[in-house]
Amino acid sequence: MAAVESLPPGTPSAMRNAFGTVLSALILVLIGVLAFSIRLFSVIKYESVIHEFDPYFNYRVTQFLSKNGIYEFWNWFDDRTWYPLGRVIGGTVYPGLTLTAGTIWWVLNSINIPLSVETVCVFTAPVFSAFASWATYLLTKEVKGSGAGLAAAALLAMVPSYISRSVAGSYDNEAVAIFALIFTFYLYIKTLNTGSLFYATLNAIAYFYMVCSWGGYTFIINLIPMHVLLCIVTGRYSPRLYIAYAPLVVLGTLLAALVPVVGFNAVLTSEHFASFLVFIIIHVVALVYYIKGILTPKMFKVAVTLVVSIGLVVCLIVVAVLVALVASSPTGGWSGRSLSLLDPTYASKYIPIIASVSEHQPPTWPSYFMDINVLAFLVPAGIIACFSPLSDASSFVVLYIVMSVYFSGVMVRLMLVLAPAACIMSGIALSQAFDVFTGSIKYQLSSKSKDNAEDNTSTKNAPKDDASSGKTDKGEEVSKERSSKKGKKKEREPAEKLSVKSKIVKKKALVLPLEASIVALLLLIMLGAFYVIHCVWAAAEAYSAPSIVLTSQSHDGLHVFDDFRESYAWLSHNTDVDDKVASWWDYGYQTTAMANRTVIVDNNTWNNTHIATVGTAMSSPEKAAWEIFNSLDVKYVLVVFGGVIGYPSDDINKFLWMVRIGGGEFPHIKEADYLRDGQYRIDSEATPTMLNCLMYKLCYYRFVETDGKGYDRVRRTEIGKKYFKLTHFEEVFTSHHWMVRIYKLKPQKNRIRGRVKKLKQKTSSGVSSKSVKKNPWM
Amino acid sequence: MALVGSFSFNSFLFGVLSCTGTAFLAICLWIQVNKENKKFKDLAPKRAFADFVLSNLVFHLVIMNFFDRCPSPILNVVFMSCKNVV
Repeated sequence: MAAVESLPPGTPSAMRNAFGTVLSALILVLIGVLAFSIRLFSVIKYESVIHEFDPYFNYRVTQFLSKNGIYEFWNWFDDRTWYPLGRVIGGTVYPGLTLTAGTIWWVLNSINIPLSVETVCVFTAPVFSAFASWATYLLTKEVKGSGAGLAAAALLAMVPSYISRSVAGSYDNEAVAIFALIFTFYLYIKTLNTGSLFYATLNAIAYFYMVCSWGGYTFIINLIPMHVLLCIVTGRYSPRLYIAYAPLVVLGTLLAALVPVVGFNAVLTSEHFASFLVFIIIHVVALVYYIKGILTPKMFKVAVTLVVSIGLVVCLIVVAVLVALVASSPTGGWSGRSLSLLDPTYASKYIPIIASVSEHQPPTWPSYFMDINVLAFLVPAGIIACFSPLSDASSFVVLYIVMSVYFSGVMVRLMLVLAPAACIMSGIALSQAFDVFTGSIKYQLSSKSKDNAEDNTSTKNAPKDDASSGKTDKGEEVSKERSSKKGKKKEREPAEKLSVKSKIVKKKALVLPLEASIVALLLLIMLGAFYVIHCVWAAAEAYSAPSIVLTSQSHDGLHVFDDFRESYAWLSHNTDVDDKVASWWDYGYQTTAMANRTVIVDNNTWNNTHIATVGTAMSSPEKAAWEIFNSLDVKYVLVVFGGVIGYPSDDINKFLWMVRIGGGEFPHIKEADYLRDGQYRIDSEATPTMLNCLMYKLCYYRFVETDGKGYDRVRRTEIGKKYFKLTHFEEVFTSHHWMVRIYKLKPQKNRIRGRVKKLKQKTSSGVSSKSVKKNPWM
Repeated sequence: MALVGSFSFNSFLFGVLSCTGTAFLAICLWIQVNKENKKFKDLAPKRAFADFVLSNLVFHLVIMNFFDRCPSPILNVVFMSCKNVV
């Protein structure tokens, strides 16, 4: 859009601009409302509840913050989790999301709108997705203009990939982080375009907000240096680039070091080294340009040789030091998660926990179409549109989309970072396409009416011309169409040369025939309609499940499975406050948040050995498992079992990870003991180790009483061992659909017959069995 | 690296970065105000200076958070009172 400031009010172009501004503002408000409402399906279909696992931890932290204030929050040491180790919450959590929601709650309550913390947490994500679409409008406007901005904002409001992580109830870091990401990029581009230090400061503050919110901030601090390097290498160095980059690195690194989670990692880990390297490079380049401007060419050559010879020596020393530093750490300075992004096979070889999370697997091809739909083939058109003309800003968005496509191919979770880039590109493509088509239609219609006018006026003037123009009146359209297709316009306009203005000749290079333009416009609008239908379907059916409440439609109506909350409520009402509950790490956050009991391991997965201990216990026979749990002061064991209703993500399906992770730390657990023909089986063909392990026993205890045959609906077989008793555990609770089963550890017997004999046998045979690696708990 | 994580690394970081950071911000001001720089002809020097002051303010606000511990008790009192304001 043209600048509005310099036009006097009342002139037609100023009126048009004012009308355009008001229209854009109205459209942006509607886009915000759309982004908010499309994420409310789960609240309508189920209830206003927090979804999944991770959001429960964030909710618990926000509750603590709202109750105890910010100083307690920074210094909070949580002893209700990772028993007996505890967890320093203040130093290991990304505070952005909880501080944002806490601030919103506090502000609303101080103006006497009494919303509960849960309501604020549930609706934070949709509100911030509205902000994110406005930020996309601003970003794309800086790159290509406000038409592209509106298109990109409308696309981002609905893109399924972003909806999946920001529905109402999905109270997770990405809800706020994607807004911070787009806003930081917008301020960077704005600084690049204007060269103002004010926007550079704002950029650093927005980057600080991003660092507070999400571990994915390393994407920003590596993408921007890459772009600066690209600009320098392609000869686009300018003072604006320096102003955009240098304050960001200095201020941004300092601000990043302020966040306790990052701390000194901001200057010590390899993830940030790229920014420092490019910082040095940009200073070298700036210095070279400056000196070139001052010295004469001869002096410049002398200076260059001098500097290069000294500089090489210094560089070699510095590089040697750096290499020594980097090589001294086993991963070369990178953290495990970053390394698994760069080398996708790293996690499966060395860190099975990272490999076991389903979000960390590479995506399949259909998931691209599911998540970004139509945008997948608008993106290449957008990339081409960015190259005409190529500016700093458009080279940045091209680099952004290339990098995000690579990373989204490594991990399904990072499709979320691809979504804004795809929307920006598609917005640019759509806007250019609409420009061309509507321009052609406008030109065709105006030239048609011009032909008619000229026919009428020229009948009186020149009969010859009239005759030729009258004859070729219809042929004029055809000839114009043909000429625009073949580009031989000037030869075919003998009669019209005088009346045609010169600028229209220039514009004719982009003119398409009228019918083609109208059809293409209609097709584009239909494309948009299909996109909207798909997004609404994805939001309603695929991404709105809270996964703590399950529903299923059957011939006799809707079944609701609320077993998880039922069992957590049972735990909180029927056990002591200090009782410890052991389960697999998936359910840790939910147990501490809803049941308010101390857990052994939870979703933070920061201590692999502790998780391996629980995994070993689940894979050992009853007595060994009892010993392990007793050493951890555990009172209750919780397992999730889906065999009665066919719920596929239960603990038996996750069992292979328990064995692998446990076996990674404690070598007496060997995966081969549990496999029959390379498969985990629980039917009559299962190995005896499998049939005796704790997980099998706790899941299938009394299972045969449900249908008389013990048919497991998930594994689709009858179970192997049907009738057995538990010796060291007793069942205390099974939920309505048998989904959650809670067991209590039986206290040790006072006297065990035959114990003295066993001890005597042990001491006599102790010497001979030293070579065998013993189970550390026996 | 015995220095990492202790208060002396904090103060080292603060010392180095405050000097270099102010220097780089001054370079940015110089770029904007320099009359030979054609691209910044239409930027008023007063606006450039105001931006410089703002960015320095934010920068020093951030840097101040790096003194949580200080060897001299007198300075400690001064900085603690500053921190309460922040």
